[in-house]
Amino acid sequence: MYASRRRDRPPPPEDFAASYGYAGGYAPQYGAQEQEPPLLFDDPNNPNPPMGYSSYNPGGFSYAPMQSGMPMGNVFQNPLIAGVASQYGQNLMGQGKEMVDQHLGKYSQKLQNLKYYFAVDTKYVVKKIGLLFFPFTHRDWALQFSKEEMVQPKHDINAPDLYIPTMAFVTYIFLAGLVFGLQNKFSPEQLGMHASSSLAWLCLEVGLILVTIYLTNLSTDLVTYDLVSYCSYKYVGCELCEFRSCLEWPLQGTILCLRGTRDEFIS
Amino acid sequence: MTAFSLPFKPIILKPLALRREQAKLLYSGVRAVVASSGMYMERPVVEFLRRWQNEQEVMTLAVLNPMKQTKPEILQDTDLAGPLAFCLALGAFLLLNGKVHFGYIYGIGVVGCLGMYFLLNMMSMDGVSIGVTVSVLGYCLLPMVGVSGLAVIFTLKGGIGLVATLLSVFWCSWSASKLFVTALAMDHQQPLVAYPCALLYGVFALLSVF
Repeated sequence: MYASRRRDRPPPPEDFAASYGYAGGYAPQYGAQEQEPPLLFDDPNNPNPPMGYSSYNPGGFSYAPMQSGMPMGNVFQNPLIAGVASQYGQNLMGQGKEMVDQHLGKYSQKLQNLKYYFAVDTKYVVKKIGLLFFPFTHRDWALQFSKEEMVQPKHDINAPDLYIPTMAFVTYIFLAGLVFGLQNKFSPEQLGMHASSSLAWLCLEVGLILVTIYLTNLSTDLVTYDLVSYCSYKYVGCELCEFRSCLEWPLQGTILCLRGTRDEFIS
Repeated sequence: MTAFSLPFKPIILKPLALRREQAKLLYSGVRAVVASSGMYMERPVVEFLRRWQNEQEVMTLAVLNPMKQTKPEILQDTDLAGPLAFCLALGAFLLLNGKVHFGYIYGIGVVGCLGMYFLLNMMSMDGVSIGVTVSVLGYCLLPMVGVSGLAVIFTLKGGIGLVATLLSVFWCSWSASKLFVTALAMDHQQPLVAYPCALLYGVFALLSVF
């Protein structure tokens, strides 16, 4: 049949002139005059246009301003004002975009550097986490270089990355929330507080290391990203402890059950 | 329009539906009988095409069926109405459980989407726009909405609740990572994309359960 759903009907006309005749947005039941456009200035030919709603007095406010012929409805339905406003808005957006591009341009190189740390694949992540838990049998810890640059983490397990640290940090916060929840102490704002304080401690630690490097005048190839990466690998170990805490309640339940069965069958 | 004598009643589609119809034809590969004036289709063809859905339904079905292959084209027109509706539904179900967490849903959603946007742009060759990220993450929230609806009846702290929550987190993150990997053509990185999604939906699960 014919399209009867709203989305299949043709869209209403978007030009403001067509909606111009709607008397500036006033509801028809207030007795608006037929197709009277809202006036923004005093018309000398018609200083007192008929106002059907000047006698409407909501809440007892004085309506002296209304009798001057200025509508208090939506002034942006006037096409002139709407055109000027949209032009101004577009100018602002253009300027804003230019400013953002200008300021962010100098960060594009740093972002490119940062992309190196996220060039990982699944095999690297699994092997690296294994290394973090069991580093005792690994023999070759040297970083590989190709053409003066470090090889991407995908191809060198010893290379630092930032994927595992970011995920470890967020998992740490999440598991902390889970542990709190299992102890019936959970509230969502706690997650935010815990995240902020952990981040602050991480920044403090990285800052201390940077200050130490500076004060002792160590010459090193380490950059800040590397330091953040190495300092955040510890969260993987923290998660093991948190995971053990999560198991606390089921573990105690199991121990109680086992004790119960032992007492029943043995004593 | 001249009247044809056909065994079935022809259906005349309005010209404004032309773009939608052409898109449908492109995707479904069905040849319609096109008259010289306007689009003139046989009823069986139209009945077949009427089962084609709009963008929201396509994305929702893609989320609900993570085993099925999705086409990358569905991520071209991303919309934010579906995600918004799902977030509001999640908030409403949590409200039924006695938790007023709209602000937390919004905050965690925004932070999670920004984090995913940053991560995906770092990890993929060609970047992704924030609209696609928000859209995909919002649509994949649907199983979590289902679980929080379930929480009205069962308590999620019991065994059945635990299983349902874990399943829904896994389902949400699998769908989201599948959509992202399809859109960005990343190889060997789907588990790497699934894990942060799982963390995000896990936080929503924490909100629902505790």
